Amino acid sequence: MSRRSSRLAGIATLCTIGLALTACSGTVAPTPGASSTSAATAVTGGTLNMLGTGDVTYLDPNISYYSIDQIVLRMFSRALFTNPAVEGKTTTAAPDLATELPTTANGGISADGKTYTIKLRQGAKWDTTPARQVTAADVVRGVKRTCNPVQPFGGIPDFQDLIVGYASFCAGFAKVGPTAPEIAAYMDKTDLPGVVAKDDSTVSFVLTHPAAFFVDMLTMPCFSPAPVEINKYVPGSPDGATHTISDGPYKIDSYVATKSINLSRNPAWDAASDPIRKAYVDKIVINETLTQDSVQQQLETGTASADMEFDSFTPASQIPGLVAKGDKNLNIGPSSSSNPYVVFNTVSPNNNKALANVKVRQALSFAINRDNLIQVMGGPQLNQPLSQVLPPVIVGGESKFDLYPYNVAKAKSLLTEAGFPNGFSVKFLYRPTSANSLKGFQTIQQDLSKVGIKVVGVPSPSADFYSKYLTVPSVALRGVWDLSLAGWGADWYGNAALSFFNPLFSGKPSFPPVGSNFGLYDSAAANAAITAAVNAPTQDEAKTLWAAADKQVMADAPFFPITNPQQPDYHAAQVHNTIYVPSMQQFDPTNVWIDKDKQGG
Amino acid sequence: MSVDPTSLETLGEAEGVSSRGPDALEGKAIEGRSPWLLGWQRLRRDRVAMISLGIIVLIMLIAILAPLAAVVTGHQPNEQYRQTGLSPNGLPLGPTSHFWFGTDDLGRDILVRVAFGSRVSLLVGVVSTGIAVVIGVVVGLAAGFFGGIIDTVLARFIDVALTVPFLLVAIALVSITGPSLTITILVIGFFSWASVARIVRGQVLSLREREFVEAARSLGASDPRIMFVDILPNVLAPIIVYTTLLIPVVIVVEATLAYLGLGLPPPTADWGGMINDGQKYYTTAWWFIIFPGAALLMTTLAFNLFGDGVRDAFDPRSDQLLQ
Amino acid sequence: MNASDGPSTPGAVVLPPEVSTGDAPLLRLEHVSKAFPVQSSKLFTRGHEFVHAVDDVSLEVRPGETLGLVGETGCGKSTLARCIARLYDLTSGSINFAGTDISHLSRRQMRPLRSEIQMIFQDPYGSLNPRRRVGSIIGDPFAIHGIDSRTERKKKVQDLMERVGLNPEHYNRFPADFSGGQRQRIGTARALALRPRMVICDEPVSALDVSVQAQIINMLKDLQDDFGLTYIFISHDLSVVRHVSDRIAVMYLGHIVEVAPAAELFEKARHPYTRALLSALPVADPDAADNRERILLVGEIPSPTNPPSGCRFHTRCPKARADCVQTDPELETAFDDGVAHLTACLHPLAIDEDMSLSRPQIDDSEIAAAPDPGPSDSTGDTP
Ligand SMILES: Nc1ncnc2c1ncn2[C@@H]1O[C@H](COP(=O)(O)OP(=O)(O)OP(=O)(O)O)[C@@H](O)[C@H]1O
Ligand code: SF4
Ligand SMILES: [Mg+2]
Repeated sequence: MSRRSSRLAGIATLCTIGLALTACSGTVAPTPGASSTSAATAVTGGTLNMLGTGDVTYLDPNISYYSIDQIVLRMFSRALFTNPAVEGKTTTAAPDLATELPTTANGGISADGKTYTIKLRQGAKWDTTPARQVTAADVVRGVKRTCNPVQPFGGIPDFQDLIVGYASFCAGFAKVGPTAPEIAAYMDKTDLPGVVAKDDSTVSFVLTHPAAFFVDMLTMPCFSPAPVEINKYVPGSPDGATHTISDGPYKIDSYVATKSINLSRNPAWDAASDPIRKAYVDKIVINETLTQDSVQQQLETGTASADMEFDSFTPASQIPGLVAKGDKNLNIGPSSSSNPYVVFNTVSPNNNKALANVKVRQALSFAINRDNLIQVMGGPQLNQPLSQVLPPVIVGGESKFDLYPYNVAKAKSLLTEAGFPNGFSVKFLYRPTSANSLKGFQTIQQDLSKVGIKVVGVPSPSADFYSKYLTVPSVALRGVWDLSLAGWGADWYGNAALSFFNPLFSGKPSFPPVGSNFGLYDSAAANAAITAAVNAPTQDEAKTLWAAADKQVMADAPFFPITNPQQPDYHAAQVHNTIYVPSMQQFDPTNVWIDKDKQGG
Repeated sequence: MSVDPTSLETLGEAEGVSSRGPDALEGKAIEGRSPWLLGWQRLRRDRVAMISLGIIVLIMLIAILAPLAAVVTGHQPNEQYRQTGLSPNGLPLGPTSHFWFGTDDLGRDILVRVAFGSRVSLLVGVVSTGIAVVIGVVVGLAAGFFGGIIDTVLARFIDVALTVPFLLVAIALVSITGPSLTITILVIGFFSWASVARIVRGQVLSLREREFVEAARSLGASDPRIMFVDILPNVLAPIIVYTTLLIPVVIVVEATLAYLGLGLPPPTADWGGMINDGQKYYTTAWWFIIFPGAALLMTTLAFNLFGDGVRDAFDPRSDQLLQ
Repeated sequence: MNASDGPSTPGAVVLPPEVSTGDAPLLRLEHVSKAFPVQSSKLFTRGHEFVHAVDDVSLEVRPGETLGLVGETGCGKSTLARCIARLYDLTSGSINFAGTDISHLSRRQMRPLRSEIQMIFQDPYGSLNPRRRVGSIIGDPFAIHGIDSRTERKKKVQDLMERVGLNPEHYNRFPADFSGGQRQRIGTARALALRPRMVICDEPVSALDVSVQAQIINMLKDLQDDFGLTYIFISHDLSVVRHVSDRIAVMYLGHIVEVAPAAELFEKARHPYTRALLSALPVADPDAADNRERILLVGEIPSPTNPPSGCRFHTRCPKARADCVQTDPELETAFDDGVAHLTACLHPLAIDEDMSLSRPQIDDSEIAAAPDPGPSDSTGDTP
């Protein structure tokens, strides 16, 4: 899987850990978890027991790329901006370490829209002896660490051409030796012109072009500050993971990889300096050794030793039952992903390059029944239908449209127009070990047989699926596959359309292995529409331009979106103020509180 | 696998004579009762083996008549009945008068798929075992009969083949070539012969020292004739026993490969694949895993029990044979 | 004839023509030896040891006669038989059958000759394939040599069955359905199928009940008359051999130690070993039995892997002398014996000599060794 789709990889990882990949998809439908706003008064104290099935990838904000990591980062590491656990605002940016959201009006954004000046909160301190104020230099260090030569951040392509000097800084960094002193030395003596500490509490970002989405992008934890002590460890090393320094409400007392993480209150943390985290509970204990089924079982019994999920999520097979019961502890929350979608290999030489013909791709889009796919993947409850590029939580995706409602007759006539009245045979690349891939393949096989298209399966081991097939353009050019199922998720929320169009549909720059435009779709009209939207000066203009780009891409039918899967999460009855935050795909653990009588365990 | 032509051919004759002869009893007395016939008579008295045989025959009938199941139910094995056989949330539906065994996670009729799945299991079970037995018998015969350097080389070869972690290699091979019926059959066949070869070699080593082999030699019989006419019929019993016991092993291996996603490419119905799909629903849709699971269990159990019976009936001394 | 006629060449014993029926010998063995390599249990001698099962045997068999071959178990009788039937390759020496040297013929070249020399085996159970029907077993020679069609074959097989005293209707039975004697008849029928000139009977009756033995022997005699067969009749039992044989050869540790016309051997045994064998024979008359000398052979047969030096019998021979340890005696006439009676002994027995009075007279170490074959047995050595 390409690095850029790693958020999605995070999802996929979760899904593989749980037995049923079905559960990776979801729907926005009813949200029984209205319990999140509880009438009772919040009480502090107690231990929050989080039950999981797997481990974080890194305990390092500048490197971590997966939603599971963000759950723990939320506890011990603060970002400049983040998505707050506030109903209705969980996908918008709010200041965390920053004092306020930068705007042109408050001088945070320069007139040319290229310089962002951010002030840091006083009172935000590292858990050092003595406690030390978080500074602008820490932020610069953090950003610099993202492209360290040992374990660089997975989402770098999102901003490497956006932040002035970042690409060349990283090019130099890549040549540095893999030891902690060499890495620290390079960061100390090399400037990153696009990220500058103006004074102790002011950091400024200089961009190559105006970007209305930049503040939303800064919610990615990779822009978090890093204390100087972190220089003692090689980034991503196990040593570094057991020597974290906290500036959040909790500090990590112990971390046993793949087993457990224990956190307790950070004495250096000052609630007054943190508008994001209420930090009701005293301790957080994360158990990483359970199974999806046993997690669910324990949470439903309501014992004090089982409060909420960590990386686990409600098994798909149980959701209909819980929904029918009206179980208030279940929450089905949105994600910002398009997963899975059918990708058409637009350069396949098979059948006289049939798939290069937009009419053929449109015909296929008419012939594939989205409802069927959604049903077999778990139903609309978990799989909100998606018929365009952008899911609704992303700026530009608010208004829905569907250019290809299921229509066999239309599909047939388009095929006839394109010169294939009798259909043809296509090769469908799929992963037999992935339930959704398997179901999608078989269902599409049946749907397409109704318009005379024979679908032949090309099975691929999961490990090879991306590395040996999808991300290798020559494989697509040879026509090894015609259709496949891939997935994509945004790296951040809100104004994040770029995070879809840039890697998936922006012509040559998006071709794999750099991008994830697996079908090698390249359309001048779409490229122009995307460039226009990228350069939109305001969020409102961005919204309109992204929606236009969406229509343009969909008209070319380079892919067939299926669903914006929803995330089902479950918590024990004693847990309150459970607010689902999409970037963590989980309730925010730093804002929940536990009933007094269930605080033990 | 060649059966001693003489004994089989005259087996038919024997029945003819006894009914045709002037005195049926006399005829019987004159006719020799072949070791096969004696074995069969012993087997006939083995209740468990006979029930198992009945089940095997039944499963074979099901495999042959699988299309009939599609006709009776009106359901094609690969057709997805999303309206009638799948909940809106994509969950399988339990047994009803419409879907006797319930449906799977794509709304397909499990009864029809179990019926069609038996074809794969039996085909792979029989053909792969056939390949394994043919290779094993030829290698074992050659090693045991010729001895010397041929035996040294072949015995090494057998040892190596026996120590190969079969499932791992099979998984690796199938991942490289991609799953298909032919590959599955060949891979399993080519990896199961070694134990047959070892058994045959051991038997032939002692058989070739027997006087009747010497006698055949003194009559001027050629090596191939001695191997196939004189020695082979004497190893046939252990071969048959081992074959019956190898079939269920092969069926399970095929199911395991399918379970690991390396079986026949979907949508072909395959018990191992169905069990793999069904296990995700074991808490909510028991029928999804139970029916293909029961079919697999019953088939392997029937072959195993039948194999035990065959062993007792035809080769009473071979208890140690299969370790 | 007298002793001065002597053997014509040392070692190769060729009987003068006047002793024989006048025909050329059907079979002539010259210096036939067969040694089997053995896997030694000893680490350092591995692969260097041999079992000298048959050692320098020269013999002649004339057409129509029965040559008895006797000796204790393990002395190499069966090995010699298999060498003659060319089931084994010879280590050295030559075999001439009906004027043809067959000692170096390949299996393919042997094939046409197979119909001439046949064997009847000792074990009536082991020599018949338990998985095949009797008809098919007896018909095997026809099948192998491609003689006759299936239907003709069946007729011939049934004729053969009748000829050896089996019910031809039992054509379709299996060996397990027959008694030991019947099975030996089956084996005989198979051996006779191709009308051989010579049949080697390797202990054909040893495995049978005494009552049945006579039937089989009589049958073999009848068949010999009818078909003009030449027999080599092997047995460890002298009394059986006496009944059937014209001449008898006595074997000890791979060597022929005495050969003589049957009656003469019983009357004038010259070799101490032969005499010892004879003395062990049960006699019908109890008085005679009482009067008879009893010679008990001391010790076990030495191992053929490492046979004793000189006369091989010297470790057990009551008449052994110092020269017996050094010199390996040749087969030659003793005293006034006819040329048909040859003995391989340095100190042959006179006719009325009482061997039970003899004591070995070899030096102390040899005497000590005599009762116990250990020291001469290679397994007693330390590597
Ligand atoms: N194939 C063989 N390999 C090695 N040694 C053998 C083989 N066949 C026979 N011998 C040995 O050669 C010697 C002679 O054996 P042979 O069978 O010829 O004796 P025999 O006189 O026929 O004995 P018996 O009366 O028991 O049949 C014995 O010591 C035997 O162990
Ligand atoms: S040669 Fe000597 S040892 Fe040999 S048999 Fe004659 S007397 Fe005995
Ligand atoms: Mg013998």
